[in-house]
Amino acid sequence: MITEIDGHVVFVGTGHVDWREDQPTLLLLHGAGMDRTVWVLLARYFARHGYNVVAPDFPAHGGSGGVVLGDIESQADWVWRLIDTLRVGGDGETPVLPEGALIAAGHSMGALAALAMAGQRATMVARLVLLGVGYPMGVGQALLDAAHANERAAVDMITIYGHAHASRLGRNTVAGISVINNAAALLEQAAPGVLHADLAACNTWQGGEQAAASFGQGRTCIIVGQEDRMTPRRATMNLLEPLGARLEVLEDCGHMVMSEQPEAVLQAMKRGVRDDASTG
Amino acid sequence: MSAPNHPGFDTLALHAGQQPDPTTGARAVPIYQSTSFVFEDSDRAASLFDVARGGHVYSRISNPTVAVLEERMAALEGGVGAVCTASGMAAIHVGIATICGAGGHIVASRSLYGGTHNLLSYTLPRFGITTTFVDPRDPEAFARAITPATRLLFAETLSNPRGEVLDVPRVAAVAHAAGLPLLVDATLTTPVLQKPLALGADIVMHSLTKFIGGHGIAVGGVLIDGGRFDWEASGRFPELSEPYEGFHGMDFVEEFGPAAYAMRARKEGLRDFGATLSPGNAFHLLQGVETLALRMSRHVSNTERVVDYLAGADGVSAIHHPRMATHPDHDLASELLPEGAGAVFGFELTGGRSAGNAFIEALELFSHLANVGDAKSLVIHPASTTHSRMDDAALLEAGVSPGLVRLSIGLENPDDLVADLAQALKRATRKARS
Repeated sequence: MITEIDGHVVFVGTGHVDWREDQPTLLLLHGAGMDRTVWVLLARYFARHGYNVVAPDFPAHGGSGGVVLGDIESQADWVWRLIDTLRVGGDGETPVLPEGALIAAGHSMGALAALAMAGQRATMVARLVLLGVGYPMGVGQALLDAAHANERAAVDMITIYGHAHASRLGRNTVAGISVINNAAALLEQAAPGVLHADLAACNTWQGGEQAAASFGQGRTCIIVGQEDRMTPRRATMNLLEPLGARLEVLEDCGHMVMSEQPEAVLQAMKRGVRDDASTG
Repeated sequence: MSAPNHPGFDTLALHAGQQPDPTTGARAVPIYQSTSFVFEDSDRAASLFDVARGGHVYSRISNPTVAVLEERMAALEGGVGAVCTASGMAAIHVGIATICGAGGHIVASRSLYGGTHNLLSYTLPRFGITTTFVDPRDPEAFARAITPATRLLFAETLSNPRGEVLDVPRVAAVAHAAGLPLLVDATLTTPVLQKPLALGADIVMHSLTKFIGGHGIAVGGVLIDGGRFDWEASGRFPELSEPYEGFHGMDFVEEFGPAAYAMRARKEGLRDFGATLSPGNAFHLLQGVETLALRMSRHVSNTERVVDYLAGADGVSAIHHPRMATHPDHDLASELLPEGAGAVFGFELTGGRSAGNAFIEALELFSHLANVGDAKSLVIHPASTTHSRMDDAALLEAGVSPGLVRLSIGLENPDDLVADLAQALKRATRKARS
């Protein structure tokens, strides 16, 4: 789906199923330098299982135009504008989303944006599902420098440190697709400066505590890989208590959880969107 | 955070795409000789058909053993994905058909494997796809042949028997300037000698039957998607950038981004054309992949020894290997093929067609057959076999002289190879004089 904000094209993945007014909306926000395609399997699954899926490309990412948003709060503002623009759950004329009809999920930078959104309009968001997340989301200076210089080393650092050992060798459930090379290709497609702006936004965001306090406890599921070196466990734990979140740790999995362990993430997401620890 | 390293080529050749079997602990890749795979429940079944989960449904479209080979080849070439096929010719066909239909046009090198030449010259025109052939040594010739109907540029990274080296970066630049992808057949170079995707090519195909399998026991092919070509921006590829009614309205670029081409090649190409690699052959080919770097090194060193011998041998008038300083692509090969310019080449006997026949029949270690890239050394005399229906004038038109002999250098002791060539040359020269 293509829409517009401020005259700029916005590309939105929907899982290719028509929306229905009576369904909850599942928002899927991608990470730094990536785009909507990181959600492809999950978007297609949930779109066929009772959810209106909204998986946008942030400005200057993937198929979206515009200028990259330089901080997490701006990203959250932009996503709320997108939700209002799309009028998901409405009839296309009267706004907007009914209270509590939105489930916000995000990966890495997208997880911070989802948390910031939830803090801004806590009653609008029923649940949060945060994947590959930690707070603060510190980014190493070497990676920031390489990204700032648009050097290939930035792509290598993210693809190598972002994947578990097993994923670097590969064993994808999607036949024939190289998880690590696909991630590299996505990062290479990012326009100059975009990856650095995203990483800097992650690195400098300080609104996590306030957003968590505003959103409150008991409505968040956090999904992380056991071998995540991009967002270490201690940073994940910083969010656990303030959000009263349930934690799911995936084995043989690094930071790129959706592509590394797609089946385990699906099962965890199914539990997360319903806030149900028992659902398989 | 220091600059990290990806696993090396030899490590990927042994491990990419596979973990030890979680059920049995098998270290080798198991042969999943099964046409189909049980759905644990109806939801999973529906999700697999909807491409909402990963997994295998039916072995014409994907198979766990074949998938290991596919992921391994993608890893070795640096591609986002790979699709294995029943043969190299099937890979070329799927590679073209994925982005080119009736009315489409291809600009191709005129120095191609005969089977490919047949496909482009005679078979595809019956389906409305035409080809203009150009000199592979002239990148501008590719540019001049492009029309509004052109959908891809195609060439071999290293041709045989004359050893023409493709200037991949320059031809890729020509393709990209026109919004077109470059598909290369890298069968004779393998990812050991050259990685075309890193040089600018967009899609790579191999006949796995040759050096990659390496033992002359299994036929197969593979198509590898580099994932860097912008299908949407080109505007010439609705097959990838618009909804496809033949697959639930799937827009492959919208859904899969960099892997759009590989996904469509599988979801349409394997589903509808059915030129599928068997799991048994995938297993055999995987054994070859594991030792590919070791073998290519020996293929190249043996070839260099043979070329050097032939350069000083009586009865030899020309050697078409880029190792020769007189070869037109000697400098280009030094730049683009620094690890060696392959192990398949032609050379000319001064005695013409009769000398060629005599030479072939006198060889004792080389096997006379129509294949290349085996562990064993192979030979063929085109004028008396593949091109036997041509007279001398037609042979010259095709670039095949009556005395041309093609060698595929294997892994034997190089002293033995040289000795066999020496005794055969001696007998051929004697016969030519008599």
